[in-house]
Amino acid sequence: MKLLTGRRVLFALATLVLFVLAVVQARANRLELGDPTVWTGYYLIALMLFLGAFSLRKKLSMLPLGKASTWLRLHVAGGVLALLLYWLHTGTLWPNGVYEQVLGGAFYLVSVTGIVGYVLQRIYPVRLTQTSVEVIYERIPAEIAALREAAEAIVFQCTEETGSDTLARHYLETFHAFFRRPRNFLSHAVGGQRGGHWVRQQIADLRRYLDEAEQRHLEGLAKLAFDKNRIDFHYTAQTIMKGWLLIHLPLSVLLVVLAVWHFILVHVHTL
Amino acid sequence: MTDLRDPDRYRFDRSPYERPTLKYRCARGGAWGKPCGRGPNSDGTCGGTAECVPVQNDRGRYECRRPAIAGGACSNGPLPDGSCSQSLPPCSPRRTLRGIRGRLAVLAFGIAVALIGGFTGLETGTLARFNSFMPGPLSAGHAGFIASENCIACHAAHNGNAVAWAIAVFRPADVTASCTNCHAFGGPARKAHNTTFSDRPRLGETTCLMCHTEHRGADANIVTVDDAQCGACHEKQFVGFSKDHPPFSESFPAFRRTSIAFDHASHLGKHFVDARFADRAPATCVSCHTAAEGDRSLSLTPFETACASCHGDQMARRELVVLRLPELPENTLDPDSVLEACGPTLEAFETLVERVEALAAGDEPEELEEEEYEAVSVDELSLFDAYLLDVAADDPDEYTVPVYELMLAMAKGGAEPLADMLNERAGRPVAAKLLAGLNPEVVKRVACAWAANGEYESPAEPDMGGWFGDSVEIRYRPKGHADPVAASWIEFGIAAARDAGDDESGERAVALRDSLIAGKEGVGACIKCHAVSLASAESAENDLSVEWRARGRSSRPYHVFSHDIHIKLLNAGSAKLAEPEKGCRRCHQLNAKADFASGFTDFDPSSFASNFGPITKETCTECHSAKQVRENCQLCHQYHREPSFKMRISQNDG
Repeated sequence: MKLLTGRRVLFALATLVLFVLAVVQARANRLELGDPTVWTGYYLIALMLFLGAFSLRKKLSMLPLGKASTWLRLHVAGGVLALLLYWLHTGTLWPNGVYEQVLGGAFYLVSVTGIVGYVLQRIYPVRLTQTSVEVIYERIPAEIAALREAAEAIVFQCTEETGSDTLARHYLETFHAFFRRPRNFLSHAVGGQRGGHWVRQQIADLRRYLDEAEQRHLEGLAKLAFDKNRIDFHYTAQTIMKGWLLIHLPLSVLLVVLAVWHFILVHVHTL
Repeated sequence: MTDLRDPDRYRFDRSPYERPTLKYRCARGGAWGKPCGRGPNSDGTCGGTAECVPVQNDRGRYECRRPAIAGGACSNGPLPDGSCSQSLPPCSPRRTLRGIRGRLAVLAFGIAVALIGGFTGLETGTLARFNSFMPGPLSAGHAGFIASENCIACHAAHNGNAVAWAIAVFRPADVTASCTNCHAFGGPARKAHNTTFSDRPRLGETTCLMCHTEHRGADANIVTVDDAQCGACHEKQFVGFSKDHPPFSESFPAFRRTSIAFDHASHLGKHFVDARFADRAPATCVSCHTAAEGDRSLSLTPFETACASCHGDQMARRELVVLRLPELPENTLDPDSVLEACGPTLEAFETLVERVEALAAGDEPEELEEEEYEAVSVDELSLFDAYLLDVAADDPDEYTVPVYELMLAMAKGGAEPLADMLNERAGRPVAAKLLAGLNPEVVKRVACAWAANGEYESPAEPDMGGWFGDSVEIRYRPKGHADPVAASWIEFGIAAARDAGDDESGERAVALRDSLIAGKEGVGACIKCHAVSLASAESAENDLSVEWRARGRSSRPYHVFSHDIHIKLLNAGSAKLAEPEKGCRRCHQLNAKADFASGFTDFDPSSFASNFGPITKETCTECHSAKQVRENCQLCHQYHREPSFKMRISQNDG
């Protein structure tokens, strides 16, 4: 994974330049006894609404609103800029008022989940590509069911053709559970190879008890088990990549509502 | 079996089309079984109870529509009523991640609204801090004053209804107006430095929020001005005090003469070292000068403590001659009127007795010889007489009649006619203060004595001071320092001369004033020490005022200096007067060559010679520089002009 691509550097520089400009403007404004918290607040809430618009962009994919990848870069750059602007706006890491603390806490949580999401998006897609298969997340149950059906068919066929139930009994004791649902979630999440090792170990353990005919069926079963392991990784990675949004997005909604109320309160009481 | 590496396995005709935006998914798939081909309905109900929805063809027969990926048309075909023959047990579809996310978003929205609404209205009590209206605790200075009004004390729109709020969002809030409900300044509140700069008419308005930020906590400093902000407006730009602050003025810190003409040079150099007075000399500077906390000006120890031991008896020596019997060329008084007012004199009574006794003895009384008139007084009118009667003090032809009229009136009415004339002359009631303590009977007796062309003999010497008649004068002897009658006469004299014209009457008013404020010779010798100055720089030459009190803070409202801190730091309390480099004298160097007295020869306070040499910037930078004691602008300069409170601050015990 190459971190310093030209576009990333460009967006990072643009973000930095914008922030430096904001700092310079805030300083100049403060020198002339202006209140930089006012316009930094405007910038911040506008930026937050823009960041929130990324979700709408994904919903309105039929409209020509630019490439999603560009939106994502803008979303990331905007998120970083929002964090810097937040500090410029509040002038502190942690505000005084309880409501402002809730608002600040929501802002930090959204920022942290955003950063986590960005990191996940940098890690898992690459690893998914390395599996050499592509699986639609919503189709994973069907894929697992299909693999299970195929595995059970091989076991039945083996029993019928060889008259031995060794493979069948071993299947019932081990692979049956393995094919039942996604496994080794945690291991896949942290990049472990536990699933693959387990399959290899089961195959190796079983192989010495099988004759030549049964071993041909075992090869087929092994191929399905490794495919299932790949599906498991897809399930893990995609669940995590989709699941972090379960935190990021609702928190963003919370943040925007709180921020808009803050905006109204400030305008009514002070500005 | 599907091949995971087959890129076409999700082709539309080989795979069910599952949109990522669907809110529900098949529960069979959710339980990791094989999902049905049709999936859930959009309302979340199971759509997989039948494998297809048969369609009626042109001939009225139903045809199976099971898709190819589910096995194509079934062998049984649709039932006669058009329903599918391949029924499946229903499931309870589950929400997709997207569906869950949507619900969580709605939940988050609800939590936000609940957070906002739940604590709205809680403006008092423990839970008030959870109120979204409260952006943080107020500073301790403000927290105590808003208890009864809460937010509305500063934010006018707070208690409005929804419409008012909607309007307030788009209408500028005027918090400064709320601030100035309590805070007052020595100039316009919304002008920079609370003053109007005539050379910068375009200078915009200022608001309190430009520099003051509240809701930062009880102990927070709500003033957020730094040196750079000061430099943004001021034309003379400099980085730091020690580096490039402009030098102090040549006479700093003296910009005018002192209120009290106390010659430090002569006292320290001559009197305090004189063996006769040394035991009464103060030990240190702070024996006479005391500093309140944080105050720029110093307080003087009272006269009775600091000065009276040497100068306490000097006031009584400078008496005021109010009325004086002048030389009268002839007695034009009506004897009957005098007799009516004063009764017979002892001499007349004795003559009468002799004549009656002669008549009783059958003798012819001697013819009364008309005595040759000889004025008992050879003096001129007093300056006050001349002013009061508005006559020339040295012209008997002009003053004789008015003097006799006053004399007769006093003989009849005591001090009352005098008071009436005083009030009339001043145009306001002043006599009560001017004549306080004057015994009307004494006035009457003096007048009667004068009416009889005699001298008044006072029965006793006024040792304790006050009014007394003495031969041909009515005098006032001050009772000591801060004598109110003496002070009133001086004020009267100054007021009389204030509107004096160029005519003789005006000259008499000025002469009266000058006699009253004549340094050592004036009444009580008050003006020996208390400066008489033009009321202001723009005042007319006779618009004077006496500086009765040692002037506190001078008219430099933007300067701050804490004498008490410096006194403590320099240990001035133990620095002897004779130690010229210690204590106060480390900064205030005595200038023995200065002609201090010359500064009090006229009424212009700006022409003076200070007892002390100027304090230069270098004096301050010995300590205040970049790497030593702080040197920021606000250490010595304050932004506001004469900040104060409009409201009286009191503790509410309730």
